[in-house]
Amino acid sequence: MLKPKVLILRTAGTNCDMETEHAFRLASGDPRRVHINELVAKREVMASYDILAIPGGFSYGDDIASGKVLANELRYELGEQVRDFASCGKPVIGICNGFQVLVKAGLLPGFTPIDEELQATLTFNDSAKFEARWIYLKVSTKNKCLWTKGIKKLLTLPVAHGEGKFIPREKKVLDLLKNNGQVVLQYTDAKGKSAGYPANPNGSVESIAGICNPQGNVFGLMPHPERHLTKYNHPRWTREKLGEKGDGLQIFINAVEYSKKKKL
Amino acid sequence: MIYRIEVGYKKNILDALGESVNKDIHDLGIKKVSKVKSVQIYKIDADLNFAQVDELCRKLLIDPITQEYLVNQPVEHEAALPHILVEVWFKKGVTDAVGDTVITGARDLNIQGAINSVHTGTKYVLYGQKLTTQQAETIARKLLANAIVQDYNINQGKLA
Repeated sequence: MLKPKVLILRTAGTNCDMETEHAFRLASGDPRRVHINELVAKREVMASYDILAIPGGFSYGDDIASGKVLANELRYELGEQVRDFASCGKPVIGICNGFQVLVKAGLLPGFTPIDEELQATLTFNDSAKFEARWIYLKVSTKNKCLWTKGIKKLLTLPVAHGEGKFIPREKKVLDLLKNNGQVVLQYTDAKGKSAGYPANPNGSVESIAGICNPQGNVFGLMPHPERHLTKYNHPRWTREKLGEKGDGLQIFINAVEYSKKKKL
Repeated sequence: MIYRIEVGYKKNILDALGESVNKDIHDLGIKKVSKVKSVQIYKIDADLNFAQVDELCRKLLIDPITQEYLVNQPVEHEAALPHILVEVWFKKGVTDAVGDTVITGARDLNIQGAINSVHTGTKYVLYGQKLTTQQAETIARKLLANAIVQDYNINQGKLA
């Protein structure tokens, strides 16, 4: 059976594309790294892929605000393609900078196919510092996200961002996110309890680390699942009893499996 | 036509840069500063009308959830409290990478050709009773500006 084709979107300043490619390959996908100009020039067609991933990095130097310029490029140059891709239920993931892009492009929270008015944002960490370290995450029990299906354990993944503080536009948006099962990941302490800084590295409202759209196919998160694919990625693998698989791998496997079933 | 756009954080949003500069000022040994507000400035030379510049602000330069902006006038700050204003700009001839990115970003709004140049600067509003311009000068020199590539100017604002 054909492996699902994964489009890993690249642009100036993307720097986690190779790890993300590796993750999808381990998950039995068929990933390709594609520069956005290839799509704008129509040398590549988004619709010919099964999964879209916007990896981490510092697109356009994080100038003006993280992810803003790439978000506008998606919204104004590729709007229709992206909207169709997401609306037909194909899996989309944005990691770190990619999450900032999905939110600022209006694909997340995604109350409409592309939210005209920004419903949430990711802004500077409360600490005003770039936070780069391992953190703990709990997967919300009632979330609808296909990417985290079946994952119940407390996850440990690294974060590496300066602008990761999630803020919804208003309380109504936060209530909608919760009621729709769109809150997917929340920062916790090592015991899985919600806690302030440093467990919550950026001051996100309700410790939100990742959300999905109402359909559950578009997923964005600040931590880096592609940096925890085997136990050897973990700083304490010699001291702690860890499984062979890293905590991030299942997220990629879920999307690849979902695409395979969808294709049948 | 040259437009000067100021972007600042809304009142209910934490100004993380301002807070961190405030801490650094205290570490310099200057205890007279009580609060710092940071403001991003864009000086845009463009053949655009006001409505187009307004669109550029809304769609590219600001985050509508956390920030507010004004064109050709300063964003609001607590003018009644004693304060000194420090502005930091790149020296002539130094590459302004963020300014270049604004031109790149304007491409997606189909107004790239109309922009001749973009310069970016930062304004710091230093609040504090009895803060002197000499102290503001020290803060600008030691903390806010890198003298090799940046210039600063100090505006007395409202002195106590």
